[in-house]
Amino acid sequence: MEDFFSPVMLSRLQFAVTTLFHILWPLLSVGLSLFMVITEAAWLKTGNELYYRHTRFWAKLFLLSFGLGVASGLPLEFEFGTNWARFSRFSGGFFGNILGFEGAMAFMLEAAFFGVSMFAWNRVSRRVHLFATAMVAAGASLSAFWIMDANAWMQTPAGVAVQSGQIVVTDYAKAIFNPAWFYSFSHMWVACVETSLFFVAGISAWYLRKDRHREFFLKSFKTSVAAAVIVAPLQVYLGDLSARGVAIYQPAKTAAMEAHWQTNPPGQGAGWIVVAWPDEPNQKNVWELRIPYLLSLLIYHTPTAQVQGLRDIPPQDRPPVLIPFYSFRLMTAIGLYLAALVLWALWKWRRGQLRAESLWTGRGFWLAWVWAAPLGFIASDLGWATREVGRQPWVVQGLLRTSDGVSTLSRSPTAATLALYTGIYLLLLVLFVVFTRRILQKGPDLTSPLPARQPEAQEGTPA
Amino acid sequence: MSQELLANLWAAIIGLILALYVALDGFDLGIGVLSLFTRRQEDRQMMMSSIGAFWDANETWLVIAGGALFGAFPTAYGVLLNALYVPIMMMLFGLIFRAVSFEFRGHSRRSAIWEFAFGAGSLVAVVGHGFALGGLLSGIKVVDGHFAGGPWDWFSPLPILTAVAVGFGYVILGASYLLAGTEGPMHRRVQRWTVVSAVVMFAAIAAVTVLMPLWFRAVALQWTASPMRYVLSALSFGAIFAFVILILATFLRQYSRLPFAFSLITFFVAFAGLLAAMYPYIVPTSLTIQAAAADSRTLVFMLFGIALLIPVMLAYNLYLYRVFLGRRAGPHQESY
Repeated sequence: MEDFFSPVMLSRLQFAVTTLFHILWPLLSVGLSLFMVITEAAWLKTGNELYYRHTRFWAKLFLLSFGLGVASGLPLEFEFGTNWARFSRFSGGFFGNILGFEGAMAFMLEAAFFGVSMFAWNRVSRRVHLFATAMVAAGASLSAFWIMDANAWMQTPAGVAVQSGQIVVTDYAKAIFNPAWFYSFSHMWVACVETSLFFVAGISAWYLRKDRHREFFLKSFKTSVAAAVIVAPLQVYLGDLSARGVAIYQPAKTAAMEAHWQTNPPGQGAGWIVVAWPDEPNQKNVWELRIPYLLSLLIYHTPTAQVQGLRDIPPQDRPPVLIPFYSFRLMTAIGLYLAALVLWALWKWRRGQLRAESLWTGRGFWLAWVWAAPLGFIASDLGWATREVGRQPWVVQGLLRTSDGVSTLSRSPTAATLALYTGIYLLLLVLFVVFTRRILQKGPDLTSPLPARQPEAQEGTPA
Repeated sequence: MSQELLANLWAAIIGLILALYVALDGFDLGIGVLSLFTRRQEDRQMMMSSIGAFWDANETWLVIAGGALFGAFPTAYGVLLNALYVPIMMMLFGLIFRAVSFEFRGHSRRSAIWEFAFGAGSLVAVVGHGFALGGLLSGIKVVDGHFAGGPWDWFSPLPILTAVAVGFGYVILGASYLLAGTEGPMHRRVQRWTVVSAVVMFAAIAAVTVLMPLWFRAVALQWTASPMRYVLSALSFGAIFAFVILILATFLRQYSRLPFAFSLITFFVAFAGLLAAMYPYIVPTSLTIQAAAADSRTLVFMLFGIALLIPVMLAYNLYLYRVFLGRRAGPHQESY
């Protein structure tokens, strides 16, 4: 049995806690910033004031999530050094400079234009302002690209050689565009967009159910639903693409995700297990509900394709089973449920029940949408847990074991920081929810004057 | 380019990024520390909103410094952050509270709590910086490219001195920044803060400079060796000169931005002195710049990826400051 309070375990828990909390806010700032670019551009193009009010309203929530994203994200970069010094030394030559790119290319773009976009409505012209908002969104998405790229490299390291205990990059293109980069980044980026769309739609549904600002929130509800028509099925497709990629490049992770112990003999299909209770010491499932052939079909699109089972992977290279198995299933269920919810909304739309004059008033429909608001966040965290726990026992798949990546640490400072992070991040999440509620109760500002067409004549404002 | 030149170049670039970070976030953090000593709520609010649009762009230099060090000197990144676990965590926890207080203050019914979180977070981060610097200067035990000491190795009288120097250094930056935007009694208070903290910081730096060679023989030999002796004395004179102008300019109303400019110069000169004093080590006396550097392909790749972006990043920052620091606007910014 692994020592639960060893510095390795404490450091893993600390990284898991900080990451799982941190992800929640970038999910929202990546998606909301794109939403704001669309509403602000629509305002400039159509001159419809409601679009401006929308930009300002969602900007309040964006501001909150951006601040929390910065606050909760900074420790992650430094934790690589503080808790994973051996991993840092080993992989810094590639991994570190990708993090550097993220800061220099993406984060700085976002942070600098963030000030202009949030606070300079009356200081710059409307076009310059839209440009600033677009740069915030571009910076946020570019950040997501570099971070996911760095993580994808840990899943499928490529383009490097190991020399005297450190990696040396032999081919940058191969390392950056490693096998996992595309499905990792696209799945996560679309998760940001989808989570934010359901967040916006859920909040809009909350107002519509209470019949507050009907016209205003009908606009954001329908915009989100219309976008989700493409995004929700796209995400199901990208999820499938990721799962098939994982099966090729990280077969042990797939076996753990699917609680698949026994490699299916030639000519027989591997079944897909709906639910099970995995028994790791005895290398089997205590009980299971299995759909025959489905796993082979899902991964290789042929009913009898061979899928490697955990028993054929040496015990020291096997990931834990329980967490990847259930978090993967819950994530998938949420993704399918959200796609179904979009169909329901389309049905209402078609029947004319999403019009201001004949708005649907049934409780169930709106409540289903309100309760969908947090689901994207939960699904993303579950997906992350699947991704990271499924890579164990490796920190860099096949090259460096997690237990060989940890710093020289003693128990008490590590336990103390773990406790502090857990407490502080929980507090941040609670306050985020409380303050979001407060912003929502106040509602949008529909009366304050629009920003001037031309900025106030001022020193230092570019013409 | 040879590996040796590349490694030195990257050490210089990271020095520059770190200098930008400590100077820019230094004035934010200094204002945070000063807000703890400001009784009137309007004054505290003015102090916070004077940096509301900048603090995150300023903090970004830390992210970039971290990434650049991680990529260019992976061994030093691991050793330093591992050895300085406690001070770095202090800095991170402090910065978390500093960051969230801006937004939370506006939403909370008890905004004084978040004004305190802003001040206290800044103070904890500043002390973390000071301890980390002191810990670095006291030397770190390295075996086979890994940190080989205990979690409290960094703690000694030296980090306490450096924390005082760094803390008051940031306060000068913050106070001289506030000089341009304040009136009446607040302005006089800010003047007093500038002068007092300038004197304390100078004393602390002088103490560190005198004590370092006494405590560490190797340092004494290195500092008195031929080229280093001249570099260090030139930098000391530069720092003293900028310091004198800073004190004088504090009392000239019509040049209210001059003290900030000179406090920045003092800071950069002191920082350059620090880097020169450490050369050729990246972790003094246990890890040289050469030994800690990544391979030359990585360094060249990063040169194109990151170093070439530094002017672009500076341009964003200048634009940001120009938008918010129009001459008539002062450091106050509109609320949203």
